[in-house]
Amino acid sequence: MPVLLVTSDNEQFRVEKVVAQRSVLIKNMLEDVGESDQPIPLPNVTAPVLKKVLEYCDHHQTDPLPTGDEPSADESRKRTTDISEWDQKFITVDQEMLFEIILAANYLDIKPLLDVGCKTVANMIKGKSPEEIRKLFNIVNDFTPEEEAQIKKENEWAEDR
Amino acid sequence: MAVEFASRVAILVDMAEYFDSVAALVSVDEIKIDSDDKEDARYYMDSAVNRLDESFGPLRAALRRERNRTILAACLPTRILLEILHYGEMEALFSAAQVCHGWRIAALGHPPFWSTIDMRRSKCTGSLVTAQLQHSRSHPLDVTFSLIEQADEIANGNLPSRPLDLITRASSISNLSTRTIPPMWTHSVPLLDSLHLVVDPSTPTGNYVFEPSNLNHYSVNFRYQYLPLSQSVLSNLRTLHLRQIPEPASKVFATVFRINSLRELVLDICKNRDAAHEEQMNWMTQSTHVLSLELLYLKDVAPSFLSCFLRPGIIAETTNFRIEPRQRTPFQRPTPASSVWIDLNHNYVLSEHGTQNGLTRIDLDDAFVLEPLYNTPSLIKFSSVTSLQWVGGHIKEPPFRWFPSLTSLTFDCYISRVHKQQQRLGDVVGSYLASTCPHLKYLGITMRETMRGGSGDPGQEDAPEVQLVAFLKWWLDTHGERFPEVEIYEYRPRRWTGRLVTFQELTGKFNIKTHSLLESARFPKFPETRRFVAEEEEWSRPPPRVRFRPTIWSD
Repeated sequence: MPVLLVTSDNEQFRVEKVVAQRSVLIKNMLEDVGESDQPIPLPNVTAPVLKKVLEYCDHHQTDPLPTGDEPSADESRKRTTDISEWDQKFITVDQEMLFEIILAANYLDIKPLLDVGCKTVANMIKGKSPEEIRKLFNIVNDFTPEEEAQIKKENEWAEDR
Repeated sequence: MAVEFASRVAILVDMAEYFDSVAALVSVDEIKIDSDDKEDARYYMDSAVNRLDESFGPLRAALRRERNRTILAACLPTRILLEILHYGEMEALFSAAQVCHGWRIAALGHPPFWSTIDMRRSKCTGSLVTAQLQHSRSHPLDVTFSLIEQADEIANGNLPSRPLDLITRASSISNLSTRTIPPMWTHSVPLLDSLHLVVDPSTPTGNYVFEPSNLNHYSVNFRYQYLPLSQSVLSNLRTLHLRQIPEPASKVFATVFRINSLRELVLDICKNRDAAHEEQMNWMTQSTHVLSLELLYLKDVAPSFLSCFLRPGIIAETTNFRIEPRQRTPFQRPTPASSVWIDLNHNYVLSEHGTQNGLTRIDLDDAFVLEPLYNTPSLIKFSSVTSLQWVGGHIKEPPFRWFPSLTSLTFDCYISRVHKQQQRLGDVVGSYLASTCPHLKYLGITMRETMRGGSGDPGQEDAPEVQLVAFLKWWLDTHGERFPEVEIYEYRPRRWTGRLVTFQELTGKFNIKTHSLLESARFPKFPETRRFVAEEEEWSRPPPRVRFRPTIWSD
C-alpha cells in the first residue's frame, strides 16, 4: 500500500510503504495511526531533499534493518569510513545538499543514510588543518580571545616535543 | 520576522560605520613607536592589542558566530557532529576542535573521544597526549604504549619526553598495555583497572615492582620469564590471562585458586610438563572454596594443566569452557545437544551435557587400561548422550551399553593393527553396536593409514569394506530398516567403490570422501571467548563505560 508524504514546502510524495518504512520515524507513525490513508507531514524536510532521501530508501529497500546493536560512539572510536560504490555516487552532491541529507536522515531516523553522510564528511576533513577545514566549509574563525589563547597553548605543546 | 531582520541589519550597518570612524581617528603611521627601548615599546603595543581584543574580541567573535549560523556545517546538531568526528583519527579530532566555537564545544564536551591514548602510533605526539589528558577530563583512559629503552634512555622518538609523567597525571586508566615497565616507575597508577603486560626477556624481572591493587583485568605474556604473581596485584582480579608462563601447572593452580573474585581464566602456551601433585590438588579443591569460573580457556597447554584445571570446583556446569587445539576431524555435522569426547592421547574423557549444561571431565589413569573408563557411568550420566566422538586410542569391546540414546558415532580406525592400541573398524562396528544403540542414525569413519617401517609386525590387512557390510546387514536384520547414513573419509577410496551398490542398498545415504577434504572440526563446539565487557554491577568507583579489548598478543 502506498504512503503519502508531505514536505515542508507542501509537495506530496506517494511511495511504497516498504520504502517509506526505511525511516524509523515514518514506520512508527504508520504503526501509531494504523491502516489510514492520511498524509504524513514532514515539516523538517524540503521536497528536493526528500526526493534524494527516497532515492536512497528505494535502492536499499531490501537491506536488513539496523538492529541497534552497533557500537555507540563511546564504545568504538575507530570505525571504517568505507562507503559502497552506489552510496558514494548517490552522496556526490553539493555541500549544502550533503548537509541537508544528513539532517534529514537524522530527523527521519534512517541510520544507514546518516552513516553514509557522516562518513563522507569525515573523509572530507581527514588530514586537513583547522584552517583548511574552515575554508572547505566556508566557516569563519569565531573564537573569543580566551579560546584563541587556549588553542594557542595546545599548539605550543605541539612545538614543545 | 522581516522587521526584526531589517532592524538587526541596521544595527550591523551602524556598527560598521562606528568601526570606520574609530579607525579613522588613528592612522597606521601614527601608532609607530620610534624608541630605542624595544622592551618598553613591546609592552605598550601588547597592552594596546590586548585592550583592543578585550574591547572588540568578544564582539567580533559574536558577530562571526552569527555569521557561522548561516553555514550548515558550522551549526550541525552536536549528536551529528560527534558521529562525524567519531570516524576520524585522533589528529582529525584535534583539528576539528580548533575549527570554530561550535565544533570545539562539541568535541570538548565529549571526554570519551579523547580517552584512547595509543603512544605506539607514529603520529602520537606529546602535544596530542597532553591535549587528550586535558580533554578526557576524569573519563577513564585507555593507554597503550611500548617503551624502547637504550642505554637507560627511552628511544621512541615520537613519544613525549616524559610519558610516564603524563600517565600518572591521569585520574584513572582502564587499559594499559606495555612491554617494559621502567624500574623508576614504582608507584601505583591511581585506579588502574586493566593491565596488559608483555615481559621483556632482556629486562631483569627484578625491576618489575609495579603493584597496582585495583586491577580487575590482568594479562601477562611472561615469554617464559619467571615473574612473581604478587598477591596484592591478584587479589581483586576478575579476569586473568597468562601466556608463555614457565611455571608448572600446580604452582599456577595454587596461585589462581586463591583469587576469590576470579571469573575468567585464560592459559595460553603453557608448556611446563611437570606433573601436578594430585593429592595436593585434591586437598586444595576439597578444603577451600569453589571458584566456578564463568570462562575457562586452555589453549595449547601441557596435559598437566588440563589435569589441574579440569576438575569440579574450577569448572561448573555453567562454565563457558574451551580447550585448544582440538583434534581435527572431517565430519561436518551440526553441534549435537550433548556429546562425549574420549581423548586417550591426553588421557581423559569429556562429556558435554547439552548447550547450556556444561561439561564434565573424567581422568583416565592409563590410556590403555580400560577400567577407569568402565567406571565412568557412576560419575557421569551417559544415558542422554546423543553423540560420541572417539579419539586417540583403541578401546576393546566399546561400552556402548552406556549410550542408549546415541544417534551419532564418529571414530578413527586403521587397516591393520601395528600397535595394540590402534582401533580397527571391526572392533567398533559389530552386532553389539546394532543391538545396544537402536537410535543410531549416523556413522562417521575416518580410515587412517597404518604407519609402516616402525617396530613390530605390520599385521594382516583388514577388509573394512567387508566388516561394514556385515554390520549394515545386522542392522537391517535387527531393526527391519536400512541404516540411515554413513560417511567415510578414506585415503584409499577405491577400496569401497567395488561394493558401492551394496552400500547404497543397505544405507539411506552413503558417502566416501578423500582425506584432502579434512577441514572442519566436529568436536564439541563451545562458545567463542567473549569480549571483555566492563562490568555493570556496583563497583568501588563508577564503572568505565568503555569496552575493553580482548588480549591480542603480539611479540
